[in-house]
Amino acid sequence: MAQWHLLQSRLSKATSTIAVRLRLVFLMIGLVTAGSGIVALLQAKTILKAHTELNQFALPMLTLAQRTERDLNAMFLVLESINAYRTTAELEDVKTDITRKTDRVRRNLNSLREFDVSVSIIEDLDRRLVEAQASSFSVVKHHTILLTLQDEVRETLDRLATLEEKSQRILDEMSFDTTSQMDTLIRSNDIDSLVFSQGRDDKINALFIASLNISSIGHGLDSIHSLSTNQGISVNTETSSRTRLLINAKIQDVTNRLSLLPDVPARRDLARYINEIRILLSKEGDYFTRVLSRFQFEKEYENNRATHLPLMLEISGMSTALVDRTLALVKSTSQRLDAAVYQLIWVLSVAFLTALITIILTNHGVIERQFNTRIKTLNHSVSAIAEGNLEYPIAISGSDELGDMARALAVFKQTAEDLQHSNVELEKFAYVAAHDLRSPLRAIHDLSSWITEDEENTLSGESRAYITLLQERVGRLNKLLNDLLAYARVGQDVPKPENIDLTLLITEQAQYADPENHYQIKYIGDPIWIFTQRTPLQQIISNLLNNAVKHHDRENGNITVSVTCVGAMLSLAIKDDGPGIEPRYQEKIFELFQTLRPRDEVEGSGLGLAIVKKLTARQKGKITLFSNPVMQRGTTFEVILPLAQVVQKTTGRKTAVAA
Amino acid sequence: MPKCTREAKFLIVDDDKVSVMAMQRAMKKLKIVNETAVCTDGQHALDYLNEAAKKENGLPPYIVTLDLNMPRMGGLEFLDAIRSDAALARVVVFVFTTSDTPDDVKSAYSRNVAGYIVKENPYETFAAALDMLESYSRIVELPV
Repeated sequence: MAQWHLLQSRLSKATSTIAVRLRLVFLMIGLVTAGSGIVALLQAKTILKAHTELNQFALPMLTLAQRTERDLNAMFLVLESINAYRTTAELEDVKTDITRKTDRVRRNLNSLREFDVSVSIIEDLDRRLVEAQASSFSVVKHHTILLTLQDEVRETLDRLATLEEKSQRILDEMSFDTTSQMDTLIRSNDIDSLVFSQGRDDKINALFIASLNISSIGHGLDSIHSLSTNQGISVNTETSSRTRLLINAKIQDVTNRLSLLPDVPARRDLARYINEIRILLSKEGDYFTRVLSRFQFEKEYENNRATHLPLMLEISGMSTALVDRTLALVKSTSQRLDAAVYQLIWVLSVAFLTALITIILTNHGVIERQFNTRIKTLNHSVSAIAEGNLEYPIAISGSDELGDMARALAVFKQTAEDLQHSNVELEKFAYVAAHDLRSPLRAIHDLSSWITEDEENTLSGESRAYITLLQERVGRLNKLLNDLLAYARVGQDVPKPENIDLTLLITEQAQYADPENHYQIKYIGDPIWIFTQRTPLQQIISNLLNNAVKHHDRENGNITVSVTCVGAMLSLAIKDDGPGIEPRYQEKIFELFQTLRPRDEVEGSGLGLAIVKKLTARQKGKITLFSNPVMQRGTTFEVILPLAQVVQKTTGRKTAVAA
Repeated sequence: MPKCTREAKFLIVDDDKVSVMAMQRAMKKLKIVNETAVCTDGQHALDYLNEAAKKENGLPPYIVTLDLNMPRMGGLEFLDAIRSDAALARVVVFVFTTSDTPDDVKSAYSRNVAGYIVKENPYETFAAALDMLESYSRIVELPV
């Protein structure tokens, strides 16, 4: 006992080592998980950051940069194809287009500026864009003026061509007239050459001169036209003034010759036309000035374009650089993203592996080796000891709860061994005592009976009565000793189970209990055969029947034995109609040496029910007492016993009169 | 009862004087007049038998009634001793005892006894047993 208390205190004092170990393991797993979780969180943060950067900066920037580049290129294309535009209206459109595109580029640049990346390039680009826009506008403006000039020159040339054509037509008519007059004169010469020869010759001469002048005027106008046209198409500054002089001289010549022409109405028209030509080429509008200024403009335009194009190229290069830088940004960001994702995967893999290894190691090292194996061993020991095998070794190891349990088990084993030992001693004592008490008892009985035998005639009646009383007491003591022996022996013998006709067994026991048939002992239930140990069952039935008969307060009565079998459980109910047992005695009667009536009235050792209880307990059964004398006479003892087997159960309820 | 020349002798081994008296009384009642010796324990009986064997040059036929619980040498020990001694091995032994434990019964029979009689109801059992013994001692031709 003292040992047990010591152990208990040690158990409670000791830190629960198993729990500590398990907690350590869980802590380890938790730490690994938490560590990897933190790392994963950081990685996730990086990924998120990179992703946000990519989404909110790099990609929109790239889009903007690319759009800028595209708009610039479109602008350049418009400027490149400016020569194809022939009307000022178209050029107006071009101007609007450029303004729109420039604005769009500027907006893009402003957006880009918000990202705070490649600011210098953007600033440069913005500045250059202002220049480019101004330059583009000047190119367009120059081109517009050039176009206007060209239109004017072309208009002048058209008018010149019309006037020339009209003049030529008049000249042709005049030439035809002159020629026909000359022809008429020459023909009339053949008819009357003598009469009008002098006058006719004069006339012919005049006509001839007129014809020459007409043709000269025609040639002159022709060359004026072609010179002007040539001048209008291709301009050479050096030849320009010479051509101008030449044309003026030609106009002068034509005008001079015009006055030499015969005064016909057509001459006036011609003179008007030629005058118009003169005005067109020399005075009004100043055709040559225009041609020259057009030439100047053309040169200027080309120069302008020459300075404009490199600017454009520069801008283009800058925008490409911007795109490249943005692309590089995108690339680096996505590389960072990739790296972070890769790291995250790696970290998670390592964490998973570590957790797996920890779990495997824990399972093997702690759960399997420290607990499972030891618990199994301990369990085997406990089971073996519970089955009564006190020789089974107990493996004691470790200073934790399992070790303590093993040690406690060893203490239990020792206690059980001690208990078994003392039980054996006690039983041996009871047996030896009963045996050694029996011999003198038998001697007393023998001697007293010899006295009555030998001195039958000399003994007084009183003495004989004393001897009878002596023998009765000896008999009672003998019975007591027998019962004591029986009680001590319960559980010592383990007889083999056998097939028993339960009905027969009960009938036999009923006859032994009530040999004189004072009571009606009935058997109620199916006649069955059971497979169990005979002696304990027989003793239980016998003791209960004897009890019922012995403690009955009337001469006659009814005792019923009911048997029911549920599964492998046998239920025996022995019911009498005796006086019954008051509830306050109902526990007491199962105790050793307890009877409710004096020995002189009812012979009994006070061991019968104690033996029944001990036997029932040994058989892992149960005995219950039902009695309430206030309400109703009679007592019912119900015994429930597990059977090895129910062999046979005949159907149909039968009542057998046993005794 | 006519005396038979080859009648066996009785040897009562019991430490209880009343038991011996009861047996003798029963024998007298049954008119058994065979020569009867009494020993108080196993050792005593063993000595007696050895002496008898020495004196008569070979053990005469003996029927032993043996108690189990005795001082010095108990009944079972006595049985062991005579069964392991070639000269005494063929002695016929009946166990008369107050002990009815199955262990004792089993132990006695395993040592080859002719009978096991519990002194339960002293006179009847005793008389009946002795009656059987008497017939036994006559019927059995015990070799000299």
